[in-house]
Amino acid sequence: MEKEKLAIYGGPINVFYGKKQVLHDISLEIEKNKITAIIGQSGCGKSTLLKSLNRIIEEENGTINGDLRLFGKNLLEMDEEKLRKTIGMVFQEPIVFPFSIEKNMTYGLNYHFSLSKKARKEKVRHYLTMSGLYDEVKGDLSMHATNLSGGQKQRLAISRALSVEPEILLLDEPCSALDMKNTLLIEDLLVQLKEQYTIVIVTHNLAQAKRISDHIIFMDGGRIIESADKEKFFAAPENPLSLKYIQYMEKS
Amino acid sequence: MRNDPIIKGWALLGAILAVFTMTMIVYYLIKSSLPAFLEIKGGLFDLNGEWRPRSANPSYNILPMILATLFVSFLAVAIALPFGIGTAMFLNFYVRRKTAAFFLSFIDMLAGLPSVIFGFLGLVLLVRWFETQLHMTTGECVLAAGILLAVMLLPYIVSTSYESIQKAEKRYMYASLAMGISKEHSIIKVILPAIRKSILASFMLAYGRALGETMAVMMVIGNSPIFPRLFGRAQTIPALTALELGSVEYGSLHLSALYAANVSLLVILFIVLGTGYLLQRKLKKYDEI
Amino acid sequence: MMKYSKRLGVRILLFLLGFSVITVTLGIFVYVFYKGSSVISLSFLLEGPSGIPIGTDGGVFPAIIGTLYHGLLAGLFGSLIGIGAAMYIVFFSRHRFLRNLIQVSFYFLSGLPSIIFGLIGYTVLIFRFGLDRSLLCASIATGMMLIPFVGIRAQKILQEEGEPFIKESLSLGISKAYAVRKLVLPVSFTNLLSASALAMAYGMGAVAPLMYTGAVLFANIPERLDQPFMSLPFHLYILVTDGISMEYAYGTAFVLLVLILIIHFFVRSIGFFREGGEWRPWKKKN
Repeated sequence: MEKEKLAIYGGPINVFYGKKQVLHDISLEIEKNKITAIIGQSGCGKSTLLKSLNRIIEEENGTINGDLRLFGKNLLEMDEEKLRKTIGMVFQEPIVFPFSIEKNMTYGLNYHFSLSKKARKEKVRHYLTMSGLYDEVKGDLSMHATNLSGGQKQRLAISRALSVEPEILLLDEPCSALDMKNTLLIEDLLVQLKEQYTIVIVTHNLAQAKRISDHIIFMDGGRIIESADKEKFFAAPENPLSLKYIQYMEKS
Repeated sequence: MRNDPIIKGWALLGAILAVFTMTMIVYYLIKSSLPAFLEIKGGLFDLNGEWRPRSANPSYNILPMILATLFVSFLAVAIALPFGIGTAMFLNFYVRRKTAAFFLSFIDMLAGLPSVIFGFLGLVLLVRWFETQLHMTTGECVLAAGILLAVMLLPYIVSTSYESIQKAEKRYMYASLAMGISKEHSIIKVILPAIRKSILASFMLAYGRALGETMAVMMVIGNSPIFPRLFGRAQTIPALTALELGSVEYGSLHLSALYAANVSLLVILFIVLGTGYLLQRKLKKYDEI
Repeated sequence: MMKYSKRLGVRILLFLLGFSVITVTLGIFVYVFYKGSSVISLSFLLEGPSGIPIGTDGGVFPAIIGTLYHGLLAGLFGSLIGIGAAMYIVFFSRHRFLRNLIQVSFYFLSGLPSIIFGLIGYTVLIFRFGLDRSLLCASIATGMMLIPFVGIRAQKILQEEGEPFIKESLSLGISKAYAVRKLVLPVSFTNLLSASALAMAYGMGAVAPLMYTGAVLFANIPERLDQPFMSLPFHLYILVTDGISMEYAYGTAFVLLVLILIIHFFVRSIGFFREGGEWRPWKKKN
């Protein structure tokens, strides 16, 4: 594929925790303005791969070897702060800082931009409206974030990740702790967001991947087994392992 | 302020000073005790020797004090363990949760009491009681120190054994009660064996703490540098240090002997504490009780 | 199956053990309060010691202030170093060896008997560097003792309260130091303050580290750091062992106990508000 259309590409990379290798020969092509879903059984390395993309894994004593490109630049040698500002991440357990909603939002803004009070307020409002949270709390941003429901917390986390103006958004099973209503809300949000952002989502929920993604990466045992467009992957998977996984997941 | 040199500097300085403090203490302990170890040698640990640092013909036998320290501490833990574990059992099995929590935090407050207050109370209550009830000419003795020290260890033993009893109860008690076995039977036959390893760990840790107690023991033990007997006076190494430090000269063999005494105690103390910590860590790692 | 009599025996034994421990605990507090409160008067609290020998008359005011100064200063030393080192372990150290080294220093220092800090403080500060017995020397000696006291607690606090937020914050492209200052320290502030306050209380009650490094039988309220000072626990120790005045010993013990209990209650109450209460300083009232 033409490189201009890709957000992240390259490889192969190998990832280690200490001496133990957890990811083997990973090569990627992640298309701009698309939703890429990484699927596979638990322990297959899908979260590890996600954490390697913004190198947060290095905080857990992981090391990445190889060559990976972010818009053409070497991702593994970039300044971490710049990298992570470009690639936002949302975790499985919704984490909100124990402050007001407003302070949760301004935390990243204040660090990366010097904004006037008015502009900052505008941005906070903009990103909260995007996730639908602004209307839900009726504009009361002084509300303590720990009082929000799980789904609201996760949407706050997404708004906060967006506030530092990333180009890519990584989500690690963002809905696994949520109920159906909030799951659907977030799925809708992600589909909207792909107009402006490139999205990579890890999920163990095959139906979810089917609903929202454009591209599927199937992993097993720390390797990428198959990487294909959604339609092709579900209609005619190339690898017998993929087929087995799809059949198994659809039965249960 | 994005890079925050203040925070990083604070962390780095704290780290350096913490390690520096340890290094400095180790350095001075070794350096100051070395003359005594080299010059007095076996005289430090002599079954027939004496502690006469100020005599014209001085001798520096620290063996009685080492034995006294070990003895008093052992006595204390031996007294405190049954009382502490019994209290934890009582609070866990026979008292409502809220009341138990109240008493626990109350007993916990005992740990915050300065040891000099314990020493004071030991002197006016325990020692006096020994004198009036047991007709001893002087009540200051090893047993008094052991009992006092036991009281000081109680909060620690109660809270640690309460924790492991709770864990054991969650894991085994319901199965046992479901079989129609009485509470008391389960306590003796199930809970007590289940927590024996953590009892051993807290025994070691409590013993290590007891070895280092200074003020309280010093105020009730009578401070004679002789071999310890249950109803006789004796002197522990921390007490010896605290009492004689004020009158030693810098660079004297006397000071060095005091250092040697403390180094000897520390070797024992860290072996005991180290075993306790390792045991505790092993229990935690394998999720044992 | 146990016989009924045996079961009853076990129950009685546990009740006896429990009751005796609770009674002793209660007894200690009640005894000090009962005996001490009769000695307390305004002049005891607000005057300096007098009489011959000194301490048989007057009060303990300089000792109260001296103890507070000493506790604050030692607590400050211990907390600054302890919290700093804990932050280093939890957030900034990239090398396992350094982390372990600091950890070892925490455990080493926490295992040392309190008299060791007196011994080292006396040898190093007074003998080696020729300083005078003073508030500063005593606070340094006691502060060394408080490093692990605060450090071990701070490490646990920062690990539990800070670590989940740090990764989140890093994912926003924010530096660690900024996150520690703006996020972790505010979040764990009350708990770190509690640990420091408890350390202060612990330092205030200590005698062994200060008996040869700064505390004296009689002194005025220190105006500078290089002056000797009076300390309540040391004063109590002297009153008792020199047999100066048992009556005043009760009073001194009472005052010391009250000071320490005030700190403990302060710590518990902020813990209470944080856990269950509605008290949230960051929450604006509508």
